[in-house]
Amino acid sequence: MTDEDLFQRFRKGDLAAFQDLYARYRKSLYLYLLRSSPTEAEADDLYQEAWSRVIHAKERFSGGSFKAWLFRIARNLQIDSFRRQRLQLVPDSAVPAELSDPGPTPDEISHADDCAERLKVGLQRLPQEQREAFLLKEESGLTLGQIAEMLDVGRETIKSRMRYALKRLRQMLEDCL
Amino acid sequence: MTDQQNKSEVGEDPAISHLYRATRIEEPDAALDVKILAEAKAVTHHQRRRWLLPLSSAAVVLLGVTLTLKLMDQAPRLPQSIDDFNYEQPAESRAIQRAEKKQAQPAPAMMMESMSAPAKEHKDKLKLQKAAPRTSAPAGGSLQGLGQMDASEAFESNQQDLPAVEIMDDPAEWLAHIQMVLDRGERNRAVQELKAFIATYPEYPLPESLQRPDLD
Repeated sequence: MTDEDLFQRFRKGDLAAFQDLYARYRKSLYLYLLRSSPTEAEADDLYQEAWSRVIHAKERFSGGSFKAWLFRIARNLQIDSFRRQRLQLVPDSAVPAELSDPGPTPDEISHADDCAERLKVGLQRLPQEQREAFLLKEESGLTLGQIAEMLDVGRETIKSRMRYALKRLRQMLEDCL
Repeated sequence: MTDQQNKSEVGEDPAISHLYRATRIEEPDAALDVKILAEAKAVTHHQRRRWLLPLSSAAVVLLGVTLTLKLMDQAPRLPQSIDDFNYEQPAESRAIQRAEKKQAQPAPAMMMESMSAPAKEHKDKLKLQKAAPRTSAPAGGSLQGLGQMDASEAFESNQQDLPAVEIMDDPAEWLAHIQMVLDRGERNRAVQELKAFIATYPEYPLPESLQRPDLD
């Protein structure tokens, strides 16, 4: 059964359908928020709030991809959270990459015990838009076209962000790959 | 351009993706799961109740309307006015009321004085019989008009339109008197007296001479 079928059943009052849907995206949504939030506590709050929106705003779902809708809700919540914290998101195009993102420091890299930990640190060091593109691709499984539509940007823009993100991560994890 | 660079161009790098998947060990806290699923449960429960309430309300209204209509059909029709009430009275009751009303009205003095007790009793009986289904009057067999006229109506008509008729105690003598009046050529008077006679003595047989159609 597709995500959309399960969600339609949940809209009609089928709790089991929601439980199935929740099981499918429980981990991926949480990891998306965890990797893109400054703290685990904030990730927990956003995670709960995102599912709460899905539960209560289910009538607003106008079809299409449930997965894209779910991750869009989570992303919008995160943007609101950033705004509340007065963290201004600066587009990549406005600031040279070298200045906006100096990359992981040697200390950070050397303190990472293994490659997985180094990857986590590397993700934290990525510019927000590159990290967002990478995480959406990895966690949601959406195509670049779906991500572009979700973020309301062109497909080439997403490809560019992904390209930069992968390039930086490869540089940081050179000896792990 | 290397193979990895080509994959980066299309937004893919299997090596990095593989490494990233190795980092996916964290999971949401179980308490979060409980809260979220409880919230979903509450919403679906409320949703069921939201349907249940209008449904049960509609059922109650439908039941009420059905019962009301059924009771209205089964209940006896209530009189809506005094006229309706009177209309519903049995014929016998109305006849008694009319007889009582007639009794209460003062009769002409001459009539009261001249009417003997049996004649008065017979007259009252006639009035009470008014409400009952009529049979053909034996006395008025050949006098079609008189015979089919209600005896009391004829009597009352005489009282109103014609000069007072002296009611005699002896029917034979009264008939002889009527015959004499007729023979004298006072036809109207004879008819008047004959009507009074028939009203008073409806069972008494009339002589052939007084059964002529022209006396109608």
